[in-house]
Amino acid sequence: MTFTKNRLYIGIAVVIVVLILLWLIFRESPVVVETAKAIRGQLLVTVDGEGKTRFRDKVTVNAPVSGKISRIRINEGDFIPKDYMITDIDPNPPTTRPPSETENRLNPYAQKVYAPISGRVLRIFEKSERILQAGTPIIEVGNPNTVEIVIDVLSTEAAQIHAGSAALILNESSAEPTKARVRIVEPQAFTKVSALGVEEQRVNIVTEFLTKEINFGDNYRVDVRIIVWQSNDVLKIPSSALFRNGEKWNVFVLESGKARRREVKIGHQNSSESEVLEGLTEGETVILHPPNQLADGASAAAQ
Amino acid sequence: MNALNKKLFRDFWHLRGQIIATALVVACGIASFVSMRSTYDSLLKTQQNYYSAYRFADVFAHLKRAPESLKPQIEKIPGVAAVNTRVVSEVTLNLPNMSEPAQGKIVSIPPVQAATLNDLHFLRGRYIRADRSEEVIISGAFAEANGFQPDDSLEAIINGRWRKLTIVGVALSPEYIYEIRAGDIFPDNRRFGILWMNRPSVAAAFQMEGAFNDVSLTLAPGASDSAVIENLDRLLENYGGTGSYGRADQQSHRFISNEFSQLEVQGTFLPAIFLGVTAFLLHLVLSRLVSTQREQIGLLKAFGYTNFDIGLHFLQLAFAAVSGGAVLGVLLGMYLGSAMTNLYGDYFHFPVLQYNAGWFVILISFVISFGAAALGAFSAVLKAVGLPPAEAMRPEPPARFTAGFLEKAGLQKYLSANHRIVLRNLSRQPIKAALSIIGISLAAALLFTGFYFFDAVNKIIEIQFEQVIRDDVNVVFYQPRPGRTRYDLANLPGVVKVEVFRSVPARLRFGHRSRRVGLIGAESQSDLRRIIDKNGKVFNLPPEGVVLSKSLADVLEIEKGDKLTVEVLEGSRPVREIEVTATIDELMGMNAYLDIHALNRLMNEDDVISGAYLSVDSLKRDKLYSRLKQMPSVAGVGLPAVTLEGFNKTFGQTIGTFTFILVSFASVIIFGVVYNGARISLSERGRELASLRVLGFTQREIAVILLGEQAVLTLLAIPFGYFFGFVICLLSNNLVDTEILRLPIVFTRRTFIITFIVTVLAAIVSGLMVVWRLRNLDLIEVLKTRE
Repeated sequence: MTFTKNRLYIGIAVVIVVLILLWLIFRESPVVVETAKAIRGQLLVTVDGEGKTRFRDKVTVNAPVSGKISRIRINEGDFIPKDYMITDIDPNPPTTRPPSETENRLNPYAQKVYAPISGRVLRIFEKSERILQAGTPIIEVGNPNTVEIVIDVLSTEAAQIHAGSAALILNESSAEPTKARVRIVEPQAFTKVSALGVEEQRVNIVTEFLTKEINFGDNYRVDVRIIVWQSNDVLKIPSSALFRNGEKWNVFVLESGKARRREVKIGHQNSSESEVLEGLTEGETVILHPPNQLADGASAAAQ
Repeated sequence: MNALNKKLFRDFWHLRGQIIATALVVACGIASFVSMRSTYDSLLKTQQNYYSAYRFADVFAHLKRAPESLKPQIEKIPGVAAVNTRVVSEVTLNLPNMSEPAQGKIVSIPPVQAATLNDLHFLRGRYIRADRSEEVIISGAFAEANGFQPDDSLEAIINGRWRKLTIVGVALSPEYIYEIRAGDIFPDNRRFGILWMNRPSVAAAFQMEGAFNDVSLTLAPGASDSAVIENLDRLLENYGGTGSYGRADQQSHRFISNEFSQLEVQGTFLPAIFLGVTAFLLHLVLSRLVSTQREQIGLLKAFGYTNFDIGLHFLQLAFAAVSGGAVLGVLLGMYLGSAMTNLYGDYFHFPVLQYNAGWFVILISFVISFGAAALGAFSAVLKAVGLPPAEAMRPEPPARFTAGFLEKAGLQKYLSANHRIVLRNLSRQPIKAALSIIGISLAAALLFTGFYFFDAVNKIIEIQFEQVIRDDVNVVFYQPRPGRTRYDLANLPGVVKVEVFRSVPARLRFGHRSRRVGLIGAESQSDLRRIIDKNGKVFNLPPEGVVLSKSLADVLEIEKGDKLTVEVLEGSRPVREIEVTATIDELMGMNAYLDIHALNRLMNEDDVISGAYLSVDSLKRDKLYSRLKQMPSVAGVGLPAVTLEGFNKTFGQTIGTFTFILVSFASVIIFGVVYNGARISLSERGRELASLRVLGFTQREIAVILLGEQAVLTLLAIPFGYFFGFVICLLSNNLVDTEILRLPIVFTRRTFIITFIVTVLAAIVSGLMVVWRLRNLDLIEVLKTRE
């Protein structure tokens, strides 16, 4: 009797050990995943591009008459007020006397050249004294306070941009982008070969800075993000959580240690975040870059 | 037939079970040695023959463009034997029935077939005709993967223009034995292939008439490649040379040598363990056999047999067990070796893959196995021979039994009589018990190692393809492009996110050590391509300084905080000193990373990129592919998911086979060790057990006594098995560490459990076989022997 009882116990023990081992082998170990929470917050949809700065008030001063221009005493970068006398041009320069005698003796008939606007001297075309034809550019003056940015974007994207759209100027040196606003969407598109070697229709967008402290000169390269849609209170998730199942967007939601596939409806989207219209509630955890071995119902653990 | 021979045959018959078990263990050891070693030898020989028959070059260099008139100057470099100049360029291919863009490497060949360096071996078709510019010869693996035959055609974008090319031949080259895209690690033969084309038409397509952009050369006998490389670099510097390199850095050769050196280590290291276990096992069997045969030995000696006769007799017994195993092992090894060699043929493309288990390997394996047998038998035979006849004929004096640890600890009252017998036996013969434990644990360790390799490779794949590479598509440009290209890429259909990178060829120097690498300028907070160490920790690039893979830092013997000299081999070729800000223990490759802005500053360039990683909406993938195919500036498009698929097909299979072989061998060894242990203890203790039976113990109870001992030994051996396995893994891991791949130390629960289960199963099976013998125990026979 005891013999069979012992045997029964041993049998049961063996079965239990085997079952535990089998369970240990075939039990899924949770897939370690990166996660993020669905949160409410700001979402910006932007059109990004590379732009160049330019001074809106920029004037090239030309020689009003033919004649001898005196040496220009100002330098590039100097600030000159409006009506500042830049130089003079002597239409009939005396040639018989040696230079030392003509020096500092202005011909009363010489044409004076004045700065038409106040601003900084951008470029001096004719620095030295020489004989010029009428209409030859002498200097270029620009008003740094009127700096604006021209960005060319695809014509299909330009349709989303309006005068008054907000824009952000990215700065490599500082984390905080500079604020700007679209002034004009040019009505005429032009053909341009892109950096990838493809012909495209592009439109110039002109934006102006909203702040006064600007360190940009003329013709600087800047990276610009023009905001075409924004909201400060949307339910959003990182775009890397999304994947397609047929035509529908899906995400894996991490619920009590299990990954659950769920269909979601996506609204506005930028390169890193997407607005969730349906399918998720605030605070739910989604799995980023879902790994291949993840399946609906598989156990998963956050990193 | 003399009496000793008769005894030999009878012993043989009597011990058949143990001899078969031992022979199987020997067979496994020899088979593992023969298969791996012969595979290694065959592949190495195949490679060497191929290299010399098809004139594989010794030194290679790429450059921007140099006039053909430079060739005589290269030829004049001391130590150079033959020089081959070519025009080589990557092109985008449009393959029929494939939406993904494929990539080809166009390599120029002479218009009329001539013996050149890196010559072609034709599998099918013919050489190109000099007057037909559209004819191409394609590489074997590419043709096979796509089912291309001569007369098929494919489309390529060559220098921005669509060209329809006609395939006239399929060939192999020693330059592309391992046929992969530059910078890749795993082959994707469907999407990458070599196209050999008429030199004049390639030159015309790339405006390279009278010029070349690639040079390869062979060395005169005895010439050193480092001197030639230095001279060649100097010569090519003004022509945009990106640094010349020897065979060691040639992509295909580097992979093959890495694989071969791994195979060599595994073919030496693992069989050594197998054979060590075998020798140990033989020793165990024989020494115990001798002690059970004391009386017979005494008797034989009394009859006048010399020590030599008796020694020889036992050696014969050992050799008999081994020779069967050795023959079986060699046969099995040759079979597995040829299968493994063929498996390598799937991704190393040789013209003929001749498997040849050299007689030397076979000889060595016999020497090793008989040596192991002799070594194992030696002390046992010495013991047998040393016994004086009268002494030997008396039964072995009973051991002195005193209270052991059980009694001292007062544990005996908790145990039944037979359990006590089991534990006493073990505690009173600790050396015997320890030896048994070592035997079983070594066998378990081999099993453990087999699973480890499998898990380690899986871990690499997981980290590489889930953690490091997370882009869907990556794009590389022919020339560095302006930074605004990122916006153009973002505007392509389906592109969700764009991350850019810059890569620049450079020579890194520290002290007298140098290494040619591609500096990678990456975005510091990259999400699509991350820098991850072997523990899965993510590393963010600092804004300044260079970050090196640990393996690269080891090669240069540089440490964190040291100043690394970077000689850029592109653009204005700046030479700068940069601080090493960190080293990362990566699993794959030897990399040098910088922040992309830092790299552009180093190059004294504005925002410039070499390529980009894209994350893509899978719904619009095909549209994106067709756009990418048409972009003249795009040199290559990588699709990590497709590469992974290809990897699983080729490497997964190889690793699976390897693991399977190792695991089945280890299982056989475990069985052999446990079975032998139980059988020996049966024959040693036959008398004792029979006495117990007579005293009234049931058959079941004496089985518990006998097998209980084995069960305790097996269970004790398993943790040691884990430990030895761990040590073997660490050792072999250090040995197989290569520049390309480093195996991570990962032990999954499954490895532990399966090792446990297989060991226990082997013990149970051998236990059942012993119980069957026990049932047939002839009490009278056993008990009367010594009277």
